[in-house]
Amino acid sequence: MKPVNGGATITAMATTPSTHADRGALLQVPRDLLASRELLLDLVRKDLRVRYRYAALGFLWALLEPLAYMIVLTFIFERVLTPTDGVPMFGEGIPFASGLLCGLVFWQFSTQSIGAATASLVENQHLVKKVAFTREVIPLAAMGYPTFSLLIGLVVLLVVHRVLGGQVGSSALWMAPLFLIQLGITAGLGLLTSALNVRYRDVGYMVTVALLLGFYASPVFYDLDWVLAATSSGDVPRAVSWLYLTNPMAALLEAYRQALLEGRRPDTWLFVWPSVVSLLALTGGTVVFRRQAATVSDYL
Amino acid sequence: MALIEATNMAKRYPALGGKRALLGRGGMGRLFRTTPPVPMALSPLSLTVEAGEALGIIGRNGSGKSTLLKLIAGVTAPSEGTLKVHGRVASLLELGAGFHPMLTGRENVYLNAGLLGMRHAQVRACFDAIVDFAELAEHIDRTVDTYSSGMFVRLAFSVAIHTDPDVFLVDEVLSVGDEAFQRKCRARILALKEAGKTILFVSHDLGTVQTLCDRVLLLEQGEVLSRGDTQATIDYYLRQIGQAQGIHRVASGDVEALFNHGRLSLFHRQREVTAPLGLKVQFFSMGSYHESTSAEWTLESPGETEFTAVGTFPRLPVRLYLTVSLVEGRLCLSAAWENTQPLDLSYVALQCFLRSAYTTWYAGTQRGAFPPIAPQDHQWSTVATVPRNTASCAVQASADGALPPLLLEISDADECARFQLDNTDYMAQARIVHLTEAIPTGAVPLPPGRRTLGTLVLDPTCDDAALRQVQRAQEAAERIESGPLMAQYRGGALALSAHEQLLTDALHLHAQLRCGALWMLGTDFTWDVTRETDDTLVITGRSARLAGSLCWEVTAATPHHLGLVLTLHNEERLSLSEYNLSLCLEAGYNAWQSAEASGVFGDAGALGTGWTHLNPTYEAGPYISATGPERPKITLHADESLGTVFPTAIRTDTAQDGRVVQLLCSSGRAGAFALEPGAHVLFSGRLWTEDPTSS
Repeated sequence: MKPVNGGATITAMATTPSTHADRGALLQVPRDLLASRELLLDLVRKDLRVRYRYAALGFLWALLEPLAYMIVLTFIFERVLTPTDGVPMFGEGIPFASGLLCGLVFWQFSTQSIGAATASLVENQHLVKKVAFTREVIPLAAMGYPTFSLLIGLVVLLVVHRVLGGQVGSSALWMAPLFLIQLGITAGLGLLTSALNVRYRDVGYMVTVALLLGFYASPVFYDLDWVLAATSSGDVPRAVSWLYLTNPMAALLEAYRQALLEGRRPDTWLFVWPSVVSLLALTGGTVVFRRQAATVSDYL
Repeated sequence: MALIEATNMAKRYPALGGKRALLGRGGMGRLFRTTPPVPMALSPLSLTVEAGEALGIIGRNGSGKSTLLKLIAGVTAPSEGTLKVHGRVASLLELGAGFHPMLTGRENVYLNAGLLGMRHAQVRACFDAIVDFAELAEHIDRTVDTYSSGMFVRLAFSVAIHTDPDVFLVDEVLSVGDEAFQRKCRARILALKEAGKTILFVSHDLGTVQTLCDRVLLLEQGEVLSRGDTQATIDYYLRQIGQAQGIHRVASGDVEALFNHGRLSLFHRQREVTAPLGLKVQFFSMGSYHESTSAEWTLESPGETEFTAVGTFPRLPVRLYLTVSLVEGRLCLSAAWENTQPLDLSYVALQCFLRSAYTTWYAGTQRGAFPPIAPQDHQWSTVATVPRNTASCAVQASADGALPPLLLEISDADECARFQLDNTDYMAQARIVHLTEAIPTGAVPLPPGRRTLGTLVLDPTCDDAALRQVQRAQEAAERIESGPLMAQYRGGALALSAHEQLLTDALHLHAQLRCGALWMLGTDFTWDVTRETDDTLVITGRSARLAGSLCWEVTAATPHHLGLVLTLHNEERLSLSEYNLSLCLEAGYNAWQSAEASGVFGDAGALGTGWTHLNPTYEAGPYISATGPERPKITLHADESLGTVFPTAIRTDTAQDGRVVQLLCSSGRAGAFALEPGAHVLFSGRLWTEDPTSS
């Protein structure tokens, strides 16, 4: 009998479709993901290729997009809504463009990731309904494009920072652990919202609104110090300020700016709360997702 | 080892709609919930599938077949009970999952295989095999949006089949691509089965289910109605479910016929006579085949024993009309078709698929056995062509008596229609009797109009005597008499008899041609017999190996004499190295005589094996004759105009124990007779008998 695979030798299969796995075993998730890493990368690659294949400027758009965003926002905040008291929006000696871009690229990463992940299962229902594979791959692959734009955005940020006279010191390396914390929050929330969105499509709309609110409730185009200063001067009630600080992105964005633009080690308190949120979000998101994964196709 | 073990497994889908689902959870839900609970998609079911088993799953749409496969594929999880699946499952449920039109074929292969659980290294190892099987070597680096739908499906199927899992889930995928690729897919699935893979097969194509599956599970509204023996379950399905589906049934005595979406099944004493594919109409238009089973059917005047069904095609201006009546156990099916707009349509056929248990066929004066259908048969093969002047044929099953002999008659058919008996490919596993009409299409599409395809009568109530009667009646039309001498056409040869006593044996009087190294026997040709006048029989034979035809003209001259003219009409240049007219004599003949020599046939045992030429030397001469005790002397004589002819006498080997006399023309050392295209008289002469009393 002729071998079915056309004579090729095939080694033992290690992939176990997640839906056959024990639902409770949290540790199974990283194992499944490790086994599906090639699939994850393939899906990301597909997303990138498809996005730019028929665009005349191709991958250049990844560069143009954050640049255009920065130019528009800089124009609005520096020329149209000029601060009346002449106080710089970010710390002393930090140009508005650099400060804005630093907040923007990291904020955009989370926004785009959570937004794309939330819709991912529904958008990829043609796969989910038909083939059994590690379901987590779908929302995680949706974060591929935001990650790519983040990398491009970082390059733009560094260039802008240097051109406007800034220095890049060793403290910039702090951005790496900060990003890991942000990644945990983003992935955890993405998994959670994508699983919930399948059952209740309302989640998608809620996420959009929440992210829009988050843009203003996070120090993207202004400095966290402004909020802190306003709190200590009594202009903002303490309760509101606490509420504001429950948003882990508030501390994270401030920490990124300290590490890159101010060239110093970020204040310790800025790490603590985001780390806690990151762990909670990642665990919670994974558990909820895995619980829904087996029957997610029933709702599509 | 059991690969799939399901214990009381059930599936209930959630009620769809976010609002209802949300409200259904809380206290408010009880107030607002008005929709009744969702019915079980699959009622508790226990099932064990062993390694190497092929399980068929049949049932109507919505009966839970797909749910069962989805559960086993791991796409969803059971809501009750447990399901254990050991080993890897590949589903051919949905081909090309994840295929993106903007990616190249190569990228899609990796992505799709990845979704099916393959690593890059594994895909790389069998990548060439995937591309070869899909026949896409040149296109693999082009984006998929440049592919035709056929190419797309071929690639998708190829990936799926190369994932090398333990369990294959197959759902109607065999209806993808063109005919040739479908056959290839079927062959591949068959190979998988024979390689010991486990297959779960969902299909409406009951013929394939029957061939492929060891066991069948019949589902109805999520419940298992029947499981076990394939044939019994399929019969049950067709009779019970099919009927409940509002499909029309006519019955008379032991015979009943069931019309089910463009397919007619015939039952005799509750056993299906037709193969699961039944009787249907097929036509070729706009580049693809269309079947009556894909039309929308409405019944007109459905009665106890007759009805008319009209089938329309959603995207073709074609209507099919089937009129069925059942009178005294004879089923009469008239098929007509109509195109309401000018249409490019080149072929229409009425196909009757019969159970492969039918082993013997009768067509005109011929009769033969259907060759067995072997696993490597991927194509239909012609078994016999029913001569144009014959309107009937019959099939008979082997002796166990479960299936009745079946008589099939054609009437009202177009002159150009061909009536033919075929074997199907292995998967369909059936005998086909079909009436095919090829419509010559030029640049002009066929003008609108209603045309008759023909009427087919199936009679499962006939007995063996009736079968022979059919044969007799036909024989009369294909015989010629000259006093007591009679020549009867019999499958490419002429059987001679005098005073009702048969003079010839085995191959009777036949012609042999030798082209190069290839001997062609007249009996290998497909013949058409026409009676020109009472005294002339014209028999024209064609063979796939000969561009042209061979034509006998047999005339009754003076009593005891038959005139014989054999003409070759070749359409291409042909070189013949030798040809002859051979007469296989009955065992009573013991001596032969030509102008130059004579001898006896003698005892075959003394001659050993092989054919033995009895003439000591080859001397040209115009005739050869044979004699025997109590036998009329029989003489074959060539006309002088024919040139050099060699009379030969041959004793065949011990096994055949045959006595042959022949007149042969050989090109000898010249090599070959080069025949330009045109008509060439190969033989002209006479054959006569002299009664022993008169000599």
